[in-house]
Amino acid sequence: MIAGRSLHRYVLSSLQVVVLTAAVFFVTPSAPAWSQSRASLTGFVRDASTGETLILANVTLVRGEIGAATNTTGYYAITGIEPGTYTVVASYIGYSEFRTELTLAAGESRRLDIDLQPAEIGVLEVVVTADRETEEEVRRVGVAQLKTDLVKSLPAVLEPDVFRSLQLLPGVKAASDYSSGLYIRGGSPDQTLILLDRTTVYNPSHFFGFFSTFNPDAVKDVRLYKGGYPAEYGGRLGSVVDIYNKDGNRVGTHDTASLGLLASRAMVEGPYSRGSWMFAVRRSTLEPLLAVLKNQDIDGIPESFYFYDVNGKVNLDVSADDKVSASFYTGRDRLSLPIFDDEAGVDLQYGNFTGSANWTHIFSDKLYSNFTFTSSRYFSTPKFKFGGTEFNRSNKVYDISTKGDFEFRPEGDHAITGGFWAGNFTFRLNDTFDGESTLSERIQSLYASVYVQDEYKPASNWVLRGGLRANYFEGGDYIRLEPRLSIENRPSPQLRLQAGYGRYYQFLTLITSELFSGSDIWLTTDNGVPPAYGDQFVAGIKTSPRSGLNVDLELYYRTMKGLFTLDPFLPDAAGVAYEDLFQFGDGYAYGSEVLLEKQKGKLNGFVGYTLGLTRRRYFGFEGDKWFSPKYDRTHDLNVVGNFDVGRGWRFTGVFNYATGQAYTQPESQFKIVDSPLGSTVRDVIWAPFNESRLPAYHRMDIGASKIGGFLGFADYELQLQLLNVYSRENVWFYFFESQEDNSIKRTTVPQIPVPIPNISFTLKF
Amino acid sequence: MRIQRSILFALLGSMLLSGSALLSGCDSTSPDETSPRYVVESYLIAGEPFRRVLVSTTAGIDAQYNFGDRLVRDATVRIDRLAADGSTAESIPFERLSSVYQPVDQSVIVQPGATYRLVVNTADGNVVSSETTVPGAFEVVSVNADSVQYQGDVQVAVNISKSVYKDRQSIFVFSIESLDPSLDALTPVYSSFIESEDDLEDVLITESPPFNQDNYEANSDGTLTIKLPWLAVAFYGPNRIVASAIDDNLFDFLRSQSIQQGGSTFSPGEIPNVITHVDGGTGVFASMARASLQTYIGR
Repeated sequence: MIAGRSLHRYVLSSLQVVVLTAAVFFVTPSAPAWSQSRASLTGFVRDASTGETLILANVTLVRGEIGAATNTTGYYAITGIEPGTYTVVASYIGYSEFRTELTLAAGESRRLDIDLQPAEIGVLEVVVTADRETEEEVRRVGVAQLKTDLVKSLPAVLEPDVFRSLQLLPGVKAASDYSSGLYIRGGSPDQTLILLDRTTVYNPSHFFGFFSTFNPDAVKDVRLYKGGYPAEYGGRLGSVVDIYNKDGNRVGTHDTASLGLLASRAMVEGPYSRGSWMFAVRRSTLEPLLAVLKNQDIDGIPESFYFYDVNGKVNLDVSADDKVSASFYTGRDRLSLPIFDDEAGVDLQYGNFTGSANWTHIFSDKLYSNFTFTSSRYFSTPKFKFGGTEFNRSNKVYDISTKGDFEFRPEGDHAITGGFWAGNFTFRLNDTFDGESTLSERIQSLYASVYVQDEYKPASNWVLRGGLRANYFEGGDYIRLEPRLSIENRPSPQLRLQAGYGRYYQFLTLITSELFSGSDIWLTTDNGVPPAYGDQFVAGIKTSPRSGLNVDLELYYRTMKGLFTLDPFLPDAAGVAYEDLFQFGDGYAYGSEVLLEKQKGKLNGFVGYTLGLTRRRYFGFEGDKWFSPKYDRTHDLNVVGNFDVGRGWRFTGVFNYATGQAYTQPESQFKIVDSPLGSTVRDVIWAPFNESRLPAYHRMDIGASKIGGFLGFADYELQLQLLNVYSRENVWFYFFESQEDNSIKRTTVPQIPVPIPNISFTLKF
Repeated sequence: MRIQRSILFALLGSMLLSGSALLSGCDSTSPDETSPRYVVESYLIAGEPFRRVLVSTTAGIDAQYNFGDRLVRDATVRIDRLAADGSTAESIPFERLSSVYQPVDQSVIVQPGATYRLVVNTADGNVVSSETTVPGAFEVVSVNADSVQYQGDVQVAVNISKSVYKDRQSIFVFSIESLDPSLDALTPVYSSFIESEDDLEDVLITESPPFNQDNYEANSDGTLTIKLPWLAVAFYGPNRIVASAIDDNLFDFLRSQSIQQGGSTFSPGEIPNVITHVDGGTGVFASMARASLQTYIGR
């Protein structure tokens, strides 16, 4: 294993990437002479009612047909503007359009901060993507944006959930009703990079995978890169979920409190003299139910079963060009379950902590920068006890990093971005059995990456984006280059034709179980364990036949080479060489996705359909044959609808249909009866691995909500929801077990088999 | 309108293209044959006489599996000891005796470190074969106490000499057999779920999963110290502890068979096949070395 290296090497690698990044900007061609006659327009776009910056809002100069989208801090920059008088239009779905006229003089750098007024309260808009003609980022191939309003409005099992909402998008699948894991374009959950305020989150789940850790009250923006993601991101083969928490209300102090069946939430936010702050907390409220069940002497009731999470953020405007913020997340799950009168039992605890400090500095109207220091910690400490023998595991992941991003907009046709990300990943795994250490593993690895990308617009209807990301991972001393390329043509304002390619490397692998995500383990590359890599080819046709209506098609093909995962047959890792812990393999996936989205009107929503295929093979497993992983679905259809009835009433419906999951249907059996080790007869099944399909999955959920005033001092929202309306008994899996009469019995383990009601009541002060 | 129509045509065309690509795409998953296969089972134990060989067939998954009905009684069975160059150094013939196959000469002893090949010729012309290399013999050197109190301060600790196996560390399976089982003698955790005399057989011998040698303390004299975990003790009273160093064939079979009913990192519903090293059939032809001792677990 890689032992801890000295600090100076870490500092050195960080400095190297900074120097490399700086070099990128030094070698950038200087602006042409005519640039002195051009003007620029920069600023932040905010929600007028809260002061929250808006990510991916659009700012356009009507005469001149140029514009820009705000970045992740709400900042936009339009350069190379010919002097003259323009109408500036700023737009964002769910907000009234902002228009103003201004005159820009030659060489002028104008700062224009824009406050957008929210549209009429109660009208839910912006479902998956934004829709303006020049909404650049969100209309790129493979990109989707999810508004938290939608997350909160969708019918949810007990608690609104960001990831379960993402699972409705085409190309994104769930493993089951009980899992919030994201299976995107044929990739497993570890192939998706999950960022919260630019910080990697290593196990974003509560209730052992039932739903994700992100509190929708605290979340401002969720952006999903399903594939072909740009060079500013890296480290995962498949996709990126980039989540930003709210900055806090800059206009007034507001409180929100929600009471739900499973959990309750509270959020408070407000301004102070030089910025804003936000604090949100959520905790399960199962204790009263558990107490009642315990009093009735029902077996198997946990002694303790809870989760909580806390989010906080504070922003400080140091100057017009310098803004700093600090944010944190912490969460924990706990299950303590005694069995057999305390002769046996389990005690499970796991959780995350993330913290980040962010500094945004605007050097000039042409150069924007953002620097972040991140810290992420994940832990799980499962303990098992049986007959006086204890098995304890302590599993910890630490990731500390620094990153910097630069946006350079020289006047002309280019927009150049670049940056670095360097950090230190540490993984510790300690097992004790019967009081003695049986495994003590420590993996520490420095990592660093630097990227540069250029967006070039040779003509008004062409956009070319090229990028290169270089990665270094100390575990095994790997250096890898990742080229990225995309091209977009707009034959008409309503039509975009897009294509892209990218090479991606992954230096980590997740060891997890779909049944239980509370003891996830991350392992890294090292000598003999090279990084996995893959190529992605994507193409898209994005259309907007009319305002507020999008019809999109995306095609993808991706490869996965050198996948490494813990050998599932390994019963004991003690003394096993690191490279022998793994099973190596390949994979591929391809498919097409259609999204029909109506963003406006009383009836809005989307229909998403995916026709897809994914395969895996591992060398030495099942004769090296390709097989369908369980999350492979040929057809996947999601229909989401919102109907605004008026008078504060809104109805929501969600329908899912998917091809049945792959499973293993046993075909023959035999018994081993003569073992000298013990008296047990061993039943053996022979089966073609994952070559059968469960019955098709389908389910409908509905919900209704009422918004109104509450006793004159608050607004309320009452949500009534019913999941699995028509009691569809979708199969989760079949369990095959030998019976005393020597037959094999198949038991069906269902997904949510009955209608489940949910009710929540929210007050906003 | 013309643009909208062209858009729809483009979408439709692309969908058809991608759909046909999916349908015609190479997909090398294909079902295997499902006809009955021959199953062999036999274990060689270092320093002990050859044990019997069982030959049977698989049954369909919907059938009631009666082992007696599946036995193959008309096969020819032999085990060859192989020389270093792979040639046959010694051949041990077997004969059918009451539906199973026993060595003709029951005085022949399994040699530690030797490689053996099982060859089964069936009446229909099939040849089922498998090879195993026997782990090196080892012995119990000492034990810390002849009698211990259940969950007391002192656990049974056994010093054993090392077993040698090809180019890997030794892998052990531990079995604890009660020599005086009864419902009254069950330890508390086992008495929680064993309710009748009929169920006693299920825990008469408790068996550990495979453990690597590196789990155990290596002493300066070359021995290993192995402690008996309390969870393995199902009965008070006299117990026999058996440590078995197993070969690759048994290790692969045990570790793959144990997760057919779930566990490990497989998704629920995914059932991996057992890893066997049998050509022309399936089953287990494995070897081990073992050592044992008796101890007394007091209340």
